[in-house]
Amino acid sequence: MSTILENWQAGLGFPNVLAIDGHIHVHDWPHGANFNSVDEMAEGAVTYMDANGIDGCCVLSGGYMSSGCDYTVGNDILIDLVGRLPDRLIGFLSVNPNDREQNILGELKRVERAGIRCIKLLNSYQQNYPGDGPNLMALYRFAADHNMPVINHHWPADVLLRIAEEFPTVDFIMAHYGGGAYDLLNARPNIHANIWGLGALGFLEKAVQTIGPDKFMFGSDGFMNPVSVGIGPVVYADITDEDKRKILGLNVARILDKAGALPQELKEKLNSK
Amino acid sequence: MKSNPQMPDVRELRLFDSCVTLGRLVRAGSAESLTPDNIYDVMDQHDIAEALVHENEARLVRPRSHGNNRLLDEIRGMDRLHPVWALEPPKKPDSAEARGMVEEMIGAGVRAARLMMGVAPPLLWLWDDLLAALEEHSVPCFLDFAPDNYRPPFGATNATPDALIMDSLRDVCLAHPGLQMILSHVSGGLGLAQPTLPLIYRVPNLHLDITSIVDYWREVSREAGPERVFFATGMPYYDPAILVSNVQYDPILSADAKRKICGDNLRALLEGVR
Repeated sequence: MSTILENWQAGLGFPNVLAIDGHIHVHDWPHGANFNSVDEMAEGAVTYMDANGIDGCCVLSGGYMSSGCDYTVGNDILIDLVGRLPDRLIGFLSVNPNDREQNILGELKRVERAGIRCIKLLNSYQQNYPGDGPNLMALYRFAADHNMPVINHHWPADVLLRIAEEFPTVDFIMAHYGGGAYDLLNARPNIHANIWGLGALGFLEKAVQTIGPDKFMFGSDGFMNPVSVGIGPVVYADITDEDKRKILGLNVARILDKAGALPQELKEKLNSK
Repeated sequence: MKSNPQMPDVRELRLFDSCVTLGRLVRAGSAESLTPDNIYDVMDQHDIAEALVHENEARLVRPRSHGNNRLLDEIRGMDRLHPVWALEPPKKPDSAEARGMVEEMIGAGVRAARLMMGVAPPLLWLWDDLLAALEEHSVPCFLDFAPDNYRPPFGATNATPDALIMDSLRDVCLAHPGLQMILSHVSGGLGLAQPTLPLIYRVPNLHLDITSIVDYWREVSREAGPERVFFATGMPYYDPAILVSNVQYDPILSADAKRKICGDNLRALLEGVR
């Protein structure tokens, strides 16, 4: 029997488990539970994390990532928010790759200097800018030079393989994993999957049985979604508690720690495991 | 530092899944099929106490009566499963035929209908006879907007009705105020058609299940009341684990509201069938 599942079923969250949601948005979107100010974001983040027993969240920009917006405003909000909850929130900056390369690199430097150590991309929603277009190749170079992981809404498999090979020190995280892609995940050690996706019955169990637990990390697309949409497939999966611990927090914590992005309190929990 | 929550135990919520497809599926990259042989195992694994089930064949192949009757044979004696018949309206204006369909359904012990509105769009003149017959018996109706299985989502139950469909649905719902209509597995991408939530706020007999892009239900339950929301997983097309804990771990809803959404709303509707 799974102790993790027993506690979750009983409504107790995750006592003694390091749990980090690898995919959270905080700004406005076309739908969902959104916040109108940084004050609301900070308060709401604590409410939702505590309601689900989560230690921390990877916080990505929201609506300011979309086409036509000034993404630097979104990064300003992100810096402000993460500064209010530095022990629990890990910021992921964002850019629009359709901007000029010098602007993109300037923004990466500015936000990285402000302490944000991770990058989120949404290029498929930004006029479908290619995942290996020149501005993103420049961004990956920056990520390699500054030891920053990159999560993206979607990369085509051939593009992800190419960039993972060209930038072997960068951890690339595909968001919205909902099953399959085993060969891709196995192809390179620096390709990972955030599992938030509307996968079919048993999708995570099959994935773990096929390639093991080390490539996966939970995410929810909260706080638009209930955080539990990402937790449920992990805790209810017919896998070991050791595997669940990895997917719930240890795997992403190691990536964040490598980048120097893991808050000290979470780092202590990681090291105590 | 996190604080550990104290939420209701999921088993106390008595989850009653309102969207489950039974029957063998053959789709590339798709789910395990749910059959009479494995469905209790899947329900037990995910703490689901009861389920409304429809037959895959009834959704996808005409005459729908074949699949509907097959369902009755498949789940006979399985008390945790409650049959739903997939229906579409008679082609000709014929209230007697519509009444006959519903009486056959009720006579067979079926207390919920799945209206195939992705195939037969919600035009009042098209559905009026059948809806009048369903309304006479207070049969809860789950609205299925998936198109025929030659097009995406290729047989699955998830689909996103557009604004024009929602406009037609408004006329249908208002013309049959005694009929409880539940948008079932309407989900997609970054959201529903914009008028969907405004329509729910304007039409008291239109409701939503929680598969609906997994977050809208929270707004509906808080703004329009928990009576308007129904627990559902959409399995096997969606992994039920995605949705099982959503209501349980909501930080705002009361325990009473959670029990309603998780199953008591549906139980009350089924008990009200005449």
